[in-house]
Amino acid sequence: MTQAPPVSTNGTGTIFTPDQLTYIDELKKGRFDLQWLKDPKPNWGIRAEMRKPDRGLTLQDINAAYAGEPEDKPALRTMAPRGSVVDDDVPDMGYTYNEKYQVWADNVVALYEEATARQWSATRDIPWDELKPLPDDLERAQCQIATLLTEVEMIASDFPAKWVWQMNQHFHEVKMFLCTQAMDEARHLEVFRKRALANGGGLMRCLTGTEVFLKTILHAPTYVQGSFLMHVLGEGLILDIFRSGEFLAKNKTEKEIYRLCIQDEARHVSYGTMHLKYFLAHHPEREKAIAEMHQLAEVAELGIPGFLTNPYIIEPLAVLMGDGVKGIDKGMEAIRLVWVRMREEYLNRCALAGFDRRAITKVPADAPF
Amino acid sequence: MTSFPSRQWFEDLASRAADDEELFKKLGYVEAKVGIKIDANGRGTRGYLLDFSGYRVSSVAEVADPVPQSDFTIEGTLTAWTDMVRNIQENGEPDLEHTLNRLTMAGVPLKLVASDQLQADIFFRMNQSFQAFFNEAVKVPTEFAS
Repeated sequence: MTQAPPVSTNGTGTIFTPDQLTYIDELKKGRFDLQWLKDPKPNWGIRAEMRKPDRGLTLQDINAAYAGEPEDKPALRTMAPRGSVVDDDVPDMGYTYNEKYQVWADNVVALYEEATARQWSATRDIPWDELKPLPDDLERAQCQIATLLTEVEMIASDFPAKWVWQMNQHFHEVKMFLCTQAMDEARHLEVFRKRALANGGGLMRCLTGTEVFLKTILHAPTYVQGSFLMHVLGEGLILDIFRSGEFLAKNKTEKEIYRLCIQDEARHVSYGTMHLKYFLAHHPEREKAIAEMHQLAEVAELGIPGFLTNPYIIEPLAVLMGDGVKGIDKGMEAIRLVWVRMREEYLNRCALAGFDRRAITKVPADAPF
Repeated sequence: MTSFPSRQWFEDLASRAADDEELFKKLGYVEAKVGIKIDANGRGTRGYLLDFSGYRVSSVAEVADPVPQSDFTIEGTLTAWTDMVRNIQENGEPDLEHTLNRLTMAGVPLKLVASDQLQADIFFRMNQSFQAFFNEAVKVPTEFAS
């Protein structure tokens, strides 16, 4: 049996507070407060202009007009919009990320606009009717990869969802971008699950090692650590898997799926790279932060061979590249190229972010097979 | 008929793309300077710089080397470029083996060149638009250089 919540009567015998009752009496007499018309109006007269009218009014446009540059350490921890007039007694929301360097990236505003301009539908925008029956080995290979991607993509929704509410809303652009990422990844789960179930193959095996890596990301102790693991390392690897998927596609359906996912994933990687750069460049103890990031990378890089020596990942790719199990040797040549490319792009991104690992990475320059 | 490769050919391509504005609006705007570098099979190099702005290419310039001025450059032999354009024209769109991502993935027959990884990533972030742009080749009557 549920208990009804107590009704507060505010000592007035009604649901209204004394202030509310006073205001109601004034309203009944036709007297309005109108204090809001006498408030300071710091933005009055601001008219943000569309710098590129064919695109519409962008965040860059309004940021150029007013309160566009977030403070390094905002005084408030509220949901009040940056640049607004705020009551003196607003509650503290309990945000734990209240400094710009902890969340910001110099490209995040542009990436948010880019994300909203490039949304797509896994239902409507994929030519599902172009999907044709494949030989069993190719269908199984496609479905093993689709299963992996269905499994791993949602981490990039869960991860931002875990941290967004802890970020001060003063940095609303970061939170908005991470919301687009969460939507992107929900769509990736959707599209790969649909691919697995749309052509006779079905969902296949998920592996302990993959789950362990995902758990590491989800339970990373800080946002920047998780962001490095997910945006830079994990999504960097997946971006190359997507590129490989487009390369290997056996029909227009798969081509379109992978090409659209490439775009989304590359945005996330770009944010992560530039966030890491901002974090390291503006950290109050920069050298210590860089040293800690190297420590994390040393452990995290073990995940690269874990990924690229996994038979459930590289063999389906090799079968697709070799156009069947009989061509798997030829396919493995391409896997070796993918290894080199993934390593190279990962190291390029680390260097760009300000912590060069080229001379110290333990990841072999060439595939060990 | 417009000769490929030439500045005029890329301008014609840009015009056809501009006629298809609704498609490019659906795909999303692009802000990027894209270099095209074509090694004329041992007879010198032709370079072009395409300025993507919004939903169209606002300018095409012929340059000696587009790499320093571009966000990224796609380079390859005249044979590779001709093969791609011919394939698009013959099929109405690229077949599975002639998409930009496919052709650049292994560094051959086309290669993606950028000053840093972030610039290279622009090619991936807006790949649909770049592909759609080259797909407009189907509407450009072309005379191929031998």
